Amino acid sequence: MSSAIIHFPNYLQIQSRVPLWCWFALRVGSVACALGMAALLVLKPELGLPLWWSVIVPVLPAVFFIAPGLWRNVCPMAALNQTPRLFGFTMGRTHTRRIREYSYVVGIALFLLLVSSRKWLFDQSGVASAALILFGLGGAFLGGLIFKGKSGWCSSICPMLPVQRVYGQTPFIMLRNAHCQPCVGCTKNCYDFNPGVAYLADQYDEDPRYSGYRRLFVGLLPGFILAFFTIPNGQPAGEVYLHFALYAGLSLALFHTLDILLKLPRNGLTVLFGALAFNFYYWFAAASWASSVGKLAGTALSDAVPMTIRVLLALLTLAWLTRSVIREGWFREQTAQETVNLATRLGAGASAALREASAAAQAEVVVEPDQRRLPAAAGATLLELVERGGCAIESGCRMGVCGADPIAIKDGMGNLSPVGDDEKNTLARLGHADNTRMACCARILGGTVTIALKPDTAGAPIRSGKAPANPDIKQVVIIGNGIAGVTAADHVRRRHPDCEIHVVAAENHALYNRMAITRLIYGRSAMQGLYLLPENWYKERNIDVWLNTAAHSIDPAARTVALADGEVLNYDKLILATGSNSFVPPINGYGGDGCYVLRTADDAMSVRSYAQRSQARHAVVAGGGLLGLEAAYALHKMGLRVSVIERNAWLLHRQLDEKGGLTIQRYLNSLGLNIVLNAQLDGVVRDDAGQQHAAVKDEAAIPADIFVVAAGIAPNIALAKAAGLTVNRAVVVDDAMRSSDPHIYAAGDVAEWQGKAPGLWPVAVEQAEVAACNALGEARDYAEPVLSTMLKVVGADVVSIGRFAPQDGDEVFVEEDVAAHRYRKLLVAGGQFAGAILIGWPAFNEPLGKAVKGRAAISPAQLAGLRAGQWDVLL
Amino acid sequence: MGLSSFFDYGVPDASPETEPAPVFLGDASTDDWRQLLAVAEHRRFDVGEQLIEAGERSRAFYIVGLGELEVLAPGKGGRLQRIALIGQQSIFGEQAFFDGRPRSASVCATQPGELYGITPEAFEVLAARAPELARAVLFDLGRILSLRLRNATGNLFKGRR
Repeated sequence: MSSAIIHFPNYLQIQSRVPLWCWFALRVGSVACALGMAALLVLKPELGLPLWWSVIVPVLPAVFFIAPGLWRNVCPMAALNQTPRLFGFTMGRTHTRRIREYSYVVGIALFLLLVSSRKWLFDQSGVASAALILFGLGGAFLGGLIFKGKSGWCSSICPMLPVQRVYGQTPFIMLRNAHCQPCVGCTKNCYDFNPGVAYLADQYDEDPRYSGYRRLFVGLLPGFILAFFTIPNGQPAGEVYLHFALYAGLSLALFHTLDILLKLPRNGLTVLFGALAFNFYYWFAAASWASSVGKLAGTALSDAVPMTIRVLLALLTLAWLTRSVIREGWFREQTAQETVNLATRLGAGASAALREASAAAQAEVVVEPDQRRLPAAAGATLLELVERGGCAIESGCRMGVCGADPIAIKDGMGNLSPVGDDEKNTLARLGHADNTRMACCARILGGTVTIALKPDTAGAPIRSGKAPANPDIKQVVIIGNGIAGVTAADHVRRRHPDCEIHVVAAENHALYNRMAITRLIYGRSAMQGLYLLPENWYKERNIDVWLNTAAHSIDPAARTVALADGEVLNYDKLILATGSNSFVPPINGYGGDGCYVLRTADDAMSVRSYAQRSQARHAVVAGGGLLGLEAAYALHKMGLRVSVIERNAWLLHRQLDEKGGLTIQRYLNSLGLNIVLNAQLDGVVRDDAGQQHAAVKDEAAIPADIFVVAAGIAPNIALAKAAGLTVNRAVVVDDAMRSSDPHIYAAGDVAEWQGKAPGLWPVAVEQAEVAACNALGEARDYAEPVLSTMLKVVGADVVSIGRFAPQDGDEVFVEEDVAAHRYRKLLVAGGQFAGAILIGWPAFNEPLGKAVKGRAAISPAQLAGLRAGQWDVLL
Repeated sequence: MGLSSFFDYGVPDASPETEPAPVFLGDASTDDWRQLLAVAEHRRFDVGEQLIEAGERSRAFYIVGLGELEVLAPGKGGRLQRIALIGQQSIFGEQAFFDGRPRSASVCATQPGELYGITPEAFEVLAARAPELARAVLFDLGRILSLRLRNATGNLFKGRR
């Protein structure tokens, strides 16, 4: 028990006030007195009867009420009951189930029978009264001979026990049980073991009959006592019993009626009825007691004595009631604690692992405003930590390019890794306050870093950069509001403070995190969380943005762009950043209900609403590339049974080699995704029952309530083509990102540079900046960044950096761990890091990403280590 | 109803209802535990810090590595009352993990410490990476939940002892 204060001490916790020998002496005395009393009752009943029934017995309820332990320790019956145990000749039997159930009931019955019989028998007969005393003493002794502890009499069938438990439930004076040395655990809810809680425990027992017997008794007690004092003397036995039964019955009826009507705590009414019974008793008994004492003493007591007794005991009862109610509150509090019982233990293997995990995480991130403390291992990104800490944060490319996860560093900036180039560009584009970092890039090096998940707004908006403005250029139009368009607009504004910039966008959204649209499907993100720019971004930069407005045509000769709404924009320079659409190969039966592509946020929201509306259960994703797998994962998270069909021999074949593809496939299989490789899709068909299937050659039809095509991108080249620009797969551009028209540039998915249109964010960002620079007259050539991609499936940890297919002369390091779904591969070419695949090795993502992107030279020590299979040399 | 502590007679067969606390992942190796902790949310807490608020919709179950927590529920007059203590190296919160319903009670720290939360998502990652271990986790959580349920409903046969 946790409480510092013990409200309910058991007898072992109660201080002993009286030495043990003293109790023994008192017991010998009490047995002698009892025997003497019996003799007196037989020999001199005219003296014995009033002494016994009117003077001694009426004192007992008050003793039970005030110091019940006194009677429990000196009662002559208890003394005899414990004699066999004391001298070691008890048989020490345990109660049988039946005895345990009914002994208390026997005690109640005996009490009722004996007390009611006083009226016609015991009060008048000394012999009967003496026999009663001897019966009590003998019964107690016999019980002690047979049963262990006090279970033979005192705690079972003793007729005084029910009264003692009612009146003695809230003792004013606690006396330590001086009998049981030691406790043998003979009785349930033992009164001698824990006097302060025994009655409460009875009331709260989960067996309704167990508490029921006790409630029955207390319910009838006040009526029973009234009956005792209201029956005229000299009635025949039958009428006496009838009178008692009537009064007790009425009392019991009242008890149960009130029990139903008053919503008192479990022990509330029992305490109230106990108090009533006690005071009824003394209301009547006080007078007869005083007169009997007076008679026996030979001098009449003062007339005020009975009323004094009544009032004193009534006041005492008020205190008793209050204390009982308070104690029931404590009891409920304490037992509630135990009822919940959350105690569990961890297996033996836990300690070492917990110690390690705790020791590994010496650094700490504190997240405002609720000061959530996240332990951190040095080297971890803030994004990982915040995500693992259960905080809500968005994420996109996870390499600092997209700008999905800006956070404010409130304290401890010095404990973070320095800002890299990509991150610097992104931070500049976003234009938040100086304390902003991209969570995916900032790594904690040690110590404590305090962050807020919302970036602070900048004090003064950035208007212009260092490069001189070209005054000839007055108007720049950018078609497209994706990352390429926005980056281009940003860089134009940075280099030219006052030209007009128009951004024309067909979608009705400001720049958003396209990489996270699959999260819209399973509801992890809402659209609001996907916007990548601060609310006033366009306005602060004085950029006119035309959302929900398609560009209709370009007139290169007139240098105008006609918008679909009839508006015509003039331009000095035009930057095409129209992006791409999903590429949908010809598929038989494609295009009906449940067929989707995933390119825009609206696509994702349509998939979600269709899945919910149609109660779809099965989904097929055609295409096992990055987007296809992320879409499949999103549908899986929605609870659909998902199959991925891929025409190549392994998944992510543009990012991974075969082993890598198999590793991720096994992981996705374990998640519950069905993967079909080398699949030749014959079409989408609907059977007679209306169920849609994907028909794959040589495979059983795969149910496809939802059919998503993720087969790559098709650049949006219609405008450029119509304008007469040179177009291949996309708009052909030179190193300056210039198209065949000198005033028109292209960047992002719509640009084809050296025959390549990879459709990746870092490419778009880089190209847009180059296009913006050149459009303003600055000469700058585009150089393709080393590409890295990442699969955003929770737990998969797939990263591919640079190239993965070895060429002649490359040195290749490969390690596969099938059981743990891990795989790593490193290509070294000409002494430099040339490419890597990392699956399930998050610790290597950053150092290898940096090394490959920077085309870093590999040291001899690193080479030697790798050749010996020691990859840790790279960390 | 847990009345046993009032009547802890210290006699071996006298209080049969006090059973030892159930063990979570008793057979798991340290390596298994490493795998489990690797997918968990890790948090540090100070005295008085509220880790769960009644009614919130978080779904993790928690492993207390260090420290002590108290479970608080509204008692008389809406005042929060402690209904249980959670010591270190124990688990809690598995109900919401399974049923996704709002948390039934608040949890505050009474001693500083650390805890690890396993969300259903993290569990899914574990299940994909280490299905055997995940099965053991699930089975043990179910067992603990069942024992707590038993504890709450009470033993029907107790009255006949």
